[in-house]
Amino acid sequence: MVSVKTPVVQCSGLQKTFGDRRAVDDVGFEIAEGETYGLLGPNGAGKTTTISMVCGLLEPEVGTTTVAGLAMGTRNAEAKAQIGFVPQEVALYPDLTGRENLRFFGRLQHMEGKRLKSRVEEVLDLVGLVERADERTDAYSGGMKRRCNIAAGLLHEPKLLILDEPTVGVDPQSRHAILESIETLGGAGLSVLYTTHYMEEAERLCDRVGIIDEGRIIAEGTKRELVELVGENAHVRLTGAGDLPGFADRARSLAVVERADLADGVVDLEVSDASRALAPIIETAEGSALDIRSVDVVEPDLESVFLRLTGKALRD
Amino acid sequence: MRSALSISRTELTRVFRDRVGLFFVFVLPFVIIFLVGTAFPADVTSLPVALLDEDGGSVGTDLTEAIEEDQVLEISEYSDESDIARDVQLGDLAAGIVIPSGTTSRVQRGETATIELLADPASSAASVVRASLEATVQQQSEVLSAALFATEQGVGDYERNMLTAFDVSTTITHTKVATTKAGEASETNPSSFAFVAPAQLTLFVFINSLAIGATLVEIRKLGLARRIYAGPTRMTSMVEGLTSSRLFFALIQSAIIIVVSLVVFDVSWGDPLAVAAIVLLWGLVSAGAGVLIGAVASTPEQTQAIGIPLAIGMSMLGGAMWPLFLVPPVMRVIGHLVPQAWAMDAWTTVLFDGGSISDIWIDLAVLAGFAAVLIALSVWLLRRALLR
Ligand SMILES: Nc1ncnc2c1ncn2[C@@H]1O[C@H](COP(=O)(O)OP(=O)(O)O)[C@@H](O)[C@H]1O
Ligand SMILES: [Mg+2]
Repeated sequence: MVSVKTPVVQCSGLQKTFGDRRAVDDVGFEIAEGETYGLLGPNGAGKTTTISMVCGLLEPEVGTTTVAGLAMGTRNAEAKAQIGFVPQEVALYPDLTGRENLRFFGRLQHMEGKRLKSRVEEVLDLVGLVERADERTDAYSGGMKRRCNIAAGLLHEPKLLILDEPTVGVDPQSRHAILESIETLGGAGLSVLYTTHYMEEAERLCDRVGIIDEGRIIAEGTKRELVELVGENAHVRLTGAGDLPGFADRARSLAVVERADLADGVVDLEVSDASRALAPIIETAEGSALDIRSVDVVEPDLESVFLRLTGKALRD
Repeated sequence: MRSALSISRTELTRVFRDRVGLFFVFVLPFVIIFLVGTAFPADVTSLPVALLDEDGGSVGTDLTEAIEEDQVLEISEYSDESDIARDVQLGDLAAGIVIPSGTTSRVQRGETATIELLADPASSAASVVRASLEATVQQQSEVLSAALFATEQGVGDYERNMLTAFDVSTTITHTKVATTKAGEASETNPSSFAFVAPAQLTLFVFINSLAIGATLVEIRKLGLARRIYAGPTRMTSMVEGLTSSRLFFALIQSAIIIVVSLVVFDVSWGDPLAVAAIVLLWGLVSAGAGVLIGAVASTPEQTQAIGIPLAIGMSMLGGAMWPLFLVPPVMRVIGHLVPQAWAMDAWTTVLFDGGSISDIWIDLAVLAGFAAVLIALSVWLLRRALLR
């Protein structure tokens, strides 16, 4: 028997306008069960507005969303209960302890008694806050607040976890811990919708990425698909002593090399496949009596995809 | 419903965790009640009251002396009742007291004597005068009955019948004075705490409700409302929870003030039903105002920076800092633009006149109107403000 699984999230044609500014324009995507989907885009791209519509905080002007097969709307409590939402800001009561905050949000998810108690302890453990659970959250560091913020979204074991830039403004150590726990959750079969303007996070966490800019998803796919989509190639960068211009000319004639440039004592070779290109390049260098000092392989990344698609950098 | 209760309970936890807030709830009202209550009689010696003794007998003379000793009243002797009526009407007098001729002989026959009070029934100064007069008469009647009891041979109901007083006439010109038994007079409150305690209740329930608007601003600004609404909690439940927490808080604060002033300052609050009605409506008015400021302020600090002076100003206008009978008539009218004045009118009637719900229904209706408008407006604003 074949079971056709409905995607956990299915949205299409989402649109939202603030004043005369269209913040989100015809956005749609699907997230399969167990998949981590990233929305990657710079500040103001429309990420928060998009997920606000997906989780029923905002009513879209046009477009529809279903979550776990339920039509999402600001009044649909049943659909909302499928989602664990971790907002961009630290949405915790500053004058309550971490544990009190979690108990409160758990009760709002209609949890109580033993289940509430044990789930609170589980998520505290998951985000590493057990020891500090009885301190007021305004005494927490930025990283601890972020972790508690995430914990509050996990209490009721949602089908879908939505995280809106959860690592903004945290120290590298906390950031690492946060990314690791999201990887763990994703690995355990939770569906995740993750927004970020950090290319590395999208690459590390997400099975698929939607690149969003000025309210539109301009490209979507796995990292490999995206890189191929824009035809972005790897680069081999070589420095050394000797006849660099001569080497650059010879390298240019190699079949594996698409382009060769020389600037500031660095020969930059664009190649379609770095692993196959490396051997002939080094051979050529040695044949040019070049004394190689360093060779770097720069694989194409989502940053360069974004640059190629929009003509601007993800971060300024 | 459960979600609303969780939200409400959490808000109360937060309020009672705030040390500064607790000082405002548990300490400051009583410090002020004590200070003002102790100092208060000196402030109202200026209540001008006319006295006309038509009796001329010994009871009339004793009563006149006792009334003149009353610190709250500034007595001038009049010789014509119509002069009194005119000056009361002009507002030169807070009230006029007439001891009718034949009072002494009535008392000696063991009959009920009546002291007349001429006053504008709507004036709260009259309530103070009457309370004061009742206390004096009660005292006199005890002295007299003891004396008569010793000299004569137990003639029936002396103690209850000896002297009675007073109800305010419905019209200023002739004084249809109802009589009450002397024994009932002790239920009213001549003590100045009886003004100060409800005044502080009116002041502090309102002030604190505005001040805790701060927690509401946090809920909006920290994204807590967005987080709550992203879950299965309905907007209506959220608004109900946030508003009801303020009502519960007002009721708790009121109960604390009533109980402490009852136990410590011996204030007798009067008809429990009337008290409950005022407390409930005042709680709703205060909750509405608190939610309103919490919905419009842009920082938590603003609710205090704006709310506290605003509450104090309204209390001054509305007679919750000093009684409105001390201010010029025009200010009395202006004062009734704020709900505090109606609450204080109701309190005065209940505490000084032993009034019941039926005596304060107009005040209660006006308070209910304030509450309805404030709550409707604040809920409307809050729904819009929460998700921004
Ligand atoms: N409530 C709002 N009112 C007006 N403009 C808004 C509002 N929310 C977002 N915007 C605008 O919509 C655009 C997208 O915002 P947002 O979704 O927050 O972007 P991102 O999360 O990607 O940084 C921005 O230009 C922002 O200024
Ligand atoms: Mg955002």
